[in-house]
Amino acid sequence: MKVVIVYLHGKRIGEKLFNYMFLYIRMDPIVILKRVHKTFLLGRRAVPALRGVNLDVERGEFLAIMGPSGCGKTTLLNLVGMLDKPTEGRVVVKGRDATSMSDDLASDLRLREVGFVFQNFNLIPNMTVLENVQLPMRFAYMNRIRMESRARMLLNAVGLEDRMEHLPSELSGGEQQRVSIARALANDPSILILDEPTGELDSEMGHEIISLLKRLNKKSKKTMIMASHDPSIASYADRVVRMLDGKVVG
Amino acid sequence: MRINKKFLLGALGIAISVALFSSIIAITDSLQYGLVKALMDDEWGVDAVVLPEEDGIALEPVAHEPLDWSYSLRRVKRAENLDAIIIELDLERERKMGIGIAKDLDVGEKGCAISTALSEDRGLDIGDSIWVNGKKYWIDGLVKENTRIIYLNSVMTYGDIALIKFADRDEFYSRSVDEIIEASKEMGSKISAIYWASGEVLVVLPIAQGLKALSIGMSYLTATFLIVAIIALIVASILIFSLISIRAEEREREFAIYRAIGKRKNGIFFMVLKESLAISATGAVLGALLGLGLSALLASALSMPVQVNGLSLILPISVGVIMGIVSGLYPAYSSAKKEISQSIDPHRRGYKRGKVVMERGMSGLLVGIGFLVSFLSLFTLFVMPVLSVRGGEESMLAIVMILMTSMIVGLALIGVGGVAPLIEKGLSRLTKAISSGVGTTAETYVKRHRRRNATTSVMFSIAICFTVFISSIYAMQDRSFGVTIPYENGADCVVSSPEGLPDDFVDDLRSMGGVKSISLVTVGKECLISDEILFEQPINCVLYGVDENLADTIYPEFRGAKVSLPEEQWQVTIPRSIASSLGIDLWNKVNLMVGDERKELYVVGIASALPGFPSVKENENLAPGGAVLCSPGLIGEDIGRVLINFEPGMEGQTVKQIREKMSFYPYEPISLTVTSEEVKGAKEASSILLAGLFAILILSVLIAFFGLVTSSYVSIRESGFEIGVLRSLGIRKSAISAIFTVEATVVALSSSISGVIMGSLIGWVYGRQQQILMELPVVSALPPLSVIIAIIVVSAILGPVAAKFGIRALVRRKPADVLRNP
Repeated sequence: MKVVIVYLHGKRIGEKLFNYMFLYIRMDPIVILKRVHKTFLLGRRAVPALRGVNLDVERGEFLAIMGPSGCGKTTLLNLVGMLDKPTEGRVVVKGRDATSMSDDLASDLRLREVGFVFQNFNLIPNMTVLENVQLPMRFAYMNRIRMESRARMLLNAVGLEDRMEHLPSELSGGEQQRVSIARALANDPSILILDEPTGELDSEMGHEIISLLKRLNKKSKKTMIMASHDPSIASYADRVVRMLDGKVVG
Repeated sequence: MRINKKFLLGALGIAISVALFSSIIAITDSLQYGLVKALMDDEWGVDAVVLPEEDGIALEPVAHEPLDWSYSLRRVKRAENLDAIIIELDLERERKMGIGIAKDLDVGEKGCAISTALSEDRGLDIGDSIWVNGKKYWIDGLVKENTRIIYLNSVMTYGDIALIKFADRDEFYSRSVDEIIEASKEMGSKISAIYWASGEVLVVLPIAQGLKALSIGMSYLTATFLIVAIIALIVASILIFSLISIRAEEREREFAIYRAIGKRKNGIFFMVLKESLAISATGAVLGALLGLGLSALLASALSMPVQVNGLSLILPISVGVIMGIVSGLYPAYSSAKKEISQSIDPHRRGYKRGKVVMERGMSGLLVGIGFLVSFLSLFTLFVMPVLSVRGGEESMLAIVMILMTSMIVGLALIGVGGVAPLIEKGLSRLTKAISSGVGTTAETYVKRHRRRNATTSVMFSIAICFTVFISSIYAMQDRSFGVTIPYENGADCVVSSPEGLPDDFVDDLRSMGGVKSISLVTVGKECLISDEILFEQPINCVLYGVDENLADTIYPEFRGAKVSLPEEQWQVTIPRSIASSLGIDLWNKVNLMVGDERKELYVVGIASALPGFPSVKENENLAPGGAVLCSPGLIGEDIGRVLINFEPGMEGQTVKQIREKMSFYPYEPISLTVTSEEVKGAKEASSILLAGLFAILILSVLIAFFGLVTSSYVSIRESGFEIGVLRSLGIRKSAISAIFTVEATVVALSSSISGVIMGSLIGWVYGRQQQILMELPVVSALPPLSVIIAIIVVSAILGPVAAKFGIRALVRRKPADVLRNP
C-alpha cells in the first residue's frame, strides 16, 4: 500500500491509499523556492550564498539560471537537487518539502525523480559507459533485463550505441557528457539539473549537447534547470533567470 | 609537522612492537641469566647438589655475595678440566682490572682462600681472573656472609646443603648422602669433594643436565618470542606505511602548492620521509622505554635482575627507526612524483594524463616472491646439514627458526597472490547477487585499489597464517602426545621412597578408606607386582623377531626392541600398538619364543610417556611407550612405590590422609605424586605458554586491523568526490557505507581465508615432517574447526569495523559539501 498525498495549488487537499499505484495530481509548480537563504561558514565568517531567493519552476519547463561565478547558481541547484538544505526558507520539490525531509527520503527522491548532469561529467572512471548508465538503475533495484535494455536505449538516444563497452577515459568530452545525460535519465526522472553542462566543452560540442537536451525537453517534457554563464547556451531555455550576489535579479 | 591522531596512532603501533621486541630481549636475557645464575649460585659449580626433597629445587638460601649482574651469563661455559665455572669477562673489563696481583697467596692444589678485605682491596669479584706465580686462576667461588671468604678454584661451604663433586658424572642415585658415598665407592667413582649437609633425606640432581635443558629451553623460548616480535615489527612497519600514505594523500594538494611555488621533488620526498622518521623514532623511543618498564615489572615479579644492556635498548630503537625510514620511502617517492596540476584540482585526483589511475594487481609478483622465499628457505633447510655452519645449538636453532619463518611468510605471500583473488572474486559475486548496486560498485573499488588491498591482505594473511600454524601445532600435540597414556600405569597417585617404604606405612595405605586399588613396585628392579592374583590367564602369544638372531619376524616393528641380558633376566619392551593388538595388559603372562625355547615373561608395566596431557582415548595406540615384559628373576621384594587408585570422589580426602600419614615418618624419604595435580600443573604451564603466544598473535592481528583501517580510510578519502557524485545520483548513505564495508570485508575475509588455508597446509606439512624425522607417532592435524570459524567470524567483523572509521568521517557530510570540497 502506498500513501499518496494530493496537493492542489500547493495546498494539501487529502490523502488516499492505493495498491502499488502512484497517482500524482500536479497543478502546482514542480519546484518552489520561497525566501530561500543559504549561508556557509568559512571558519568563523558567515558567507551568504543565497539571500531570499523566490523561484517557481513549472512542470516541463526548461529554465536557465545565469549569472557570474560565485553568484549562487550551483548552491541553488544543490538545494533543488536536495543535496543541501537551506539555512532559511522552504524548498518544495514535486510537492514535498525538501527542507524537513530526511536524508534517506531525499536520496530516494533524488534517485527516482532528479537527474544530475555536471560540468565535468563525473563518470565512474573504471566502469564502462554501459555500467555507468546502469548504475542508478542498479540502486533502484530495477530488473536486470529491463536495466540492460533501458541503458542501451538511452545510449542509443544520445548517439553512443557503438561506445557502450568503452571506459570514460576513451571518450571525448562531448561523448562523456552524453553518457552523463544518459545516466541522468536512467531512472526516468521528472527533473534534470544541469550544472554548466557545456562548461568543459568547445563551442560546437556545447551547442550539440544543448540541442540534445532541448530535444529531450521537448520530447519527454522533462523539467530542466540549467546553470550557465554563456548567453548563447542559455538562449535555448524557455525562460532565463539572472542571479547576482545570491539574489534573483530578473 | 602536525602531531595529530594519525601521528599518535603510528607512533603507538611502532611503540607496541618495539616494546615487545625490547622486552623480549631484556626478559629472555634476564630470565636466562637469572635462572642460570640461580642454578650456579645455589650449587656453586658442583656437578650435583643434594637437595631436601620436600622442597624440590627450592634450596635453603645460602648467604653469598651476588654476582655482578652486568656479566652476560649467556657466555658462561663449563670448564672441561676445572672444578669451577668460568665466567668470561669482556676484554675491556679484564684490561681495567689488571692482572698479576696477589703474589702473597699460598695457592694449594685446588686453590686457596683470600680474604674479603683483600678481594675488596683489589676489586676482585666472582668470575675475575688473577695470576698467581705465573698461573692463571679464576675466582669462581663463594662468599659466605658470616665468613667473608673467597675461594679460588674450589668449592666449599657448610650449612644446609651438601655439595658433591664426582670425578665422573655418569651415575646419580636417588639416595641419601651416605648411600651416594657408598655407591660411588662400589662403582669406583671418585668423589673429589663433598661438603656435608644437615643430614636430611636428600635426592641428587645433576647440574649439567639442568643447565643443558635450561639452555635449550631458553633458546626455543627466545627464538619463538623473537619470531613473533619480528612479525609484529613487520606488521607495524606496514602500519607506518599505510599511515604515511594517508597523511601524504591528505596533504596532496598542499604538496602540489609547495611544488607550484618552487619546491623541488626531492624536497617533497624528504618532507614525507621526515614525517615517517619522526613517527617511528617517537614510537621506537617510547616503545624501548615501555619495554624496559615491562621487563622491570616482570623481572621484579620473578625476583630477577633487569638486564639493561645496549642490546635491549639500542637494537629495538634502531630497528624501529630503520623500519620507519623504509616504510616511508614509497609514500615519499609517490608524493614527490605526483603531477602538480592534477593534485591541485580535487576533481582530477586519481587521474593521470586524463586517465584514471588503476592500481595494477600484485598477484603475480606476490606469488613469485612467495615462491622464491619459500623455495630458498626450504632449500637452505635441506642443505644446511651438509654446510659447515659455525656456532652452537643456539645458532642452528636460530637459523632454523628464521628459515621456518621465511617459509611461512613466503607461503602467506603465495596465498595472498594466488588464493585470495579467487576468494575475492567469489565474495564479490555473492555480494552482487545480494545487492546489484552495492556489489558492482564495491567490485569496482576492489579492482581499483588492488595494490593497497594486497598490502593489507599480506599483513592480515601473515598474522592469520601464524595463528593457524600455531593452532595446528597445538592440535597436533594434543592428538599425538595427548593420548591416554596411563601415567604410572593409570594410578591416581604414587607414593614412593628410594629406600623402600616402611611396611607399616604400606599397610596403612592398604587399609585406607577411599583407596580403590593398590599396586606395589619393588625398589630398584623396575618391575611390578601386585597384591592380587595376576597370572591366571597366560596369553599364548608368540613374539618373534625380538633380536636379529631370532627366528621369523612377524612384527618388523619389534626388531629394535630392547632386550636385557643375562638370559634368565629378560626385560623386553614391546611397542604399545603390538601390545594392544595382542590384548596384552598389565600382569599378564606372556610366552616369548626364542628359537625353540620358550621364555615366560610377565607384563610388568606399560612404559609411560610424559604425564600431564589431556586425554584422547582413541589415539592410545599411537602413544609412545609400550608394554614392559619382565622375567620373574627380575622381580624384587622391597616395596619402593605404591600405585593407588581412588574411589570416585574420594581423591581429595584420601590424599590428605596420605599426607598426614607421611608426616609420621619425617626421616623417611617418602614422596607423593598426585596424577591430577601433575596433570593440572603441566596443563597450566602449557596453557600459559600458549596464552602468551596467542596474546602476541592477537596483537599482530590488531596491528593488521589498523592496517585495514588505514587502507580503507585512504580508499574512502580518495573516492571522496565520487562519493559526492554517487550521493547526487540518489544513493543513500547506507548504500555508500555498504560499498566500502563490502570492500574492507572482502579484503579481510579473502586474506584471512587464504591465511587459514596456507597456515593449515604448513601445519600439516610440519606434522608430517616431524613424524618422519622424529620417528614419533606424531599425528598431523588441521587446526580445530572452532579456531577456523573464530578467525573467519572475527575477520568478517573486523572488515566492517575497519571501514567504519573512514565512512563515518565522509558519509556524515552533506553531498553538496563533498562535491564542493572532497
